[in-house]
Amino acid sequence: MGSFRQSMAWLHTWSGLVVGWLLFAIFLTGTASFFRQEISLWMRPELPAPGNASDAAALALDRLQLIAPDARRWLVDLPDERDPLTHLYVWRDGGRLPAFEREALDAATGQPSTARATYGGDFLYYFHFDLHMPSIWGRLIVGAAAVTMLVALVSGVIIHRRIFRDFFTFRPGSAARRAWLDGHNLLAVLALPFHFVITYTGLVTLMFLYMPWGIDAAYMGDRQAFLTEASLATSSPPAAGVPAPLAPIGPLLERASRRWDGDALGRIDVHRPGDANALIELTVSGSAGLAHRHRQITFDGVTGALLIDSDPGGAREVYAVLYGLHLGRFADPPLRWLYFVSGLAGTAMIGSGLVLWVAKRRPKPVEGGRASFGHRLVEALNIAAIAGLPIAVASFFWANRLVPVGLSERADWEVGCFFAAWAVTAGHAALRPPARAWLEQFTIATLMFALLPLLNGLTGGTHLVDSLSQGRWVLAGFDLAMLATGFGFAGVASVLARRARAPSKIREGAGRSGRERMGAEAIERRSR
Amino acid sequence: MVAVFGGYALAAAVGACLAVLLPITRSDAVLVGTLASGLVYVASVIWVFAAASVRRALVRLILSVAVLGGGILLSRLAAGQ
Repeated sequence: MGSFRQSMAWLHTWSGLVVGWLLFAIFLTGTASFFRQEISLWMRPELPAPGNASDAAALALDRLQLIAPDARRWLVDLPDERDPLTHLYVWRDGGRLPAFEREALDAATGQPSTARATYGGDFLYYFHFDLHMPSIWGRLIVGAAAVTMLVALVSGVIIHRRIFRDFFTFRPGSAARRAWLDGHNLLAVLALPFHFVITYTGLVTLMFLYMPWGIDAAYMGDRQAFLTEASLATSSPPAAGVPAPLAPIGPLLERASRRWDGDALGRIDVHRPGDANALIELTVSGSAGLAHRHRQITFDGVTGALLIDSDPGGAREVYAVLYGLHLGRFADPPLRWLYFVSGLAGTAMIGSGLVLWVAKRRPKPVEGGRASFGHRLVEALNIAAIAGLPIAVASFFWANRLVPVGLSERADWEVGCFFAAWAVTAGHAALRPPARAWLEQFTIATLMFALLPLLNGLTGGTHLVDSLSQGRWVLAGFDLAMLATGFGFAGVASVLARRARAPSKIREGAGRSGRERMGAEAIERRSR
Repeated sequence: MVAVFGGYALAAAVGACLAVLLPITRSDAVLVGTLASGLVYVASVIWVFAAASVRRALVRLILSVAVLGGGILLSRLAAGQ
């Protein structure tokens, strides 16, 4: 059994190290994505407070009829309590370009939104599973990282035998390595169910990309047939070539609402608009129930006749629930915050594991040892991931306010600032001595986050005092979260600064706690 | 290497096998098989690392994949007749 645990320890250490930085980035941006809509809202300060948008669906279809009457498919994401905008997506079959187009509408007027161009929270959301890479490469890499994360979790639980006792063990004052290990264990155990579920369900969201073999075996490779049969996706029917007006949407919405017992509509999908073969597909809102897109109704787009009413049971419901659990769109604010805090715990667990790897292998100063290249590389990457990525995220928010509103491609400039800042932190981490680099980057992160509410008030956003007094909790929440993040980094930076000033004291402390540890182990042996 | 690719092969084989052999609706079987395959992957990586030697792990994996692959082939043959 001993050697089994040893091999698991090896597996845990190295699987964790290889994908640790990537996982840190995925977890951090994924955690922020639980507030994707709220971030988007903050990043478009021009938007009015959400108002009445009862006829948003009809206005959206009017707009699509105007801008894309010849499209193959229209998709409308309707506004809800978290997002005041209507989002339109258009796909075209060859012919007129662009083949894909998107537009944000002011839900109340049905006119293009005049808010600044930004990817908003969507950037962080997409980055967390496609890493801003073209095609499917990012998704494949993220999938591999997620499987490795599960392996690290399972092997971590195996090597961690005193799971209950360590739950109450945190020795922040003891030797740095010990404290990091305790912290790592505490963060892991505290939210272990969340870590498992979020990682596994993350794989589930893209599982047909990673594991298409089940479909291939059962459907002889006809993936579209599977998607249709499982009512996971509707393919556009071929065009009849005969023009026909689209059925009025109002009565269809009413029928859907009756069948859903009043649950809100989330999405309208129109295939072949204006053709005799048109289909209209309505999907229930993500906030209605745990499952993701679990109820859909398909109507004939011309006659309005009901074709399919899918209320999946069995395996499809399981799949939809697992998918929904990952997205957490059903969560109301308290639960959403719990998701967020658990995600932060996961991020911190990964970060502390990375730091632990370095702390365990740090050359002892008494031996005058110099760090090897590998050790130095890991530490620099740690700094760039753990301190650098938050700086990059903060830069993204700063760019949102500082890049001129009228600039063309300004949304891409914001993303450019994110990557540029990240590259700078990586270069800085590589060039400076590690202890200095940590301290300097955390100081910068502190300033960048703590000053964001000020920047928000100065650049046209609702000032924190106003948003609090007007009860606009989303905007106030964002500013307060940024302040809290800033204070968090300030705390870390001050601890680091204290350590840098008094290195001898720390070493003394390490020696003492080493003796304490030996004493504790002796007691443990006796008690067995 | 054995764990990464062998584990993937085993997971894929289990997923495909369940998709073909489970006596429920075809689309449901695919979903169950694919959902399970992720867990099988993780389990098989642990299994490989738990093995006393690389060769033994490899033999185990190849045998399991062969059995599952045989199962898929047999069911195809049965369906063809």
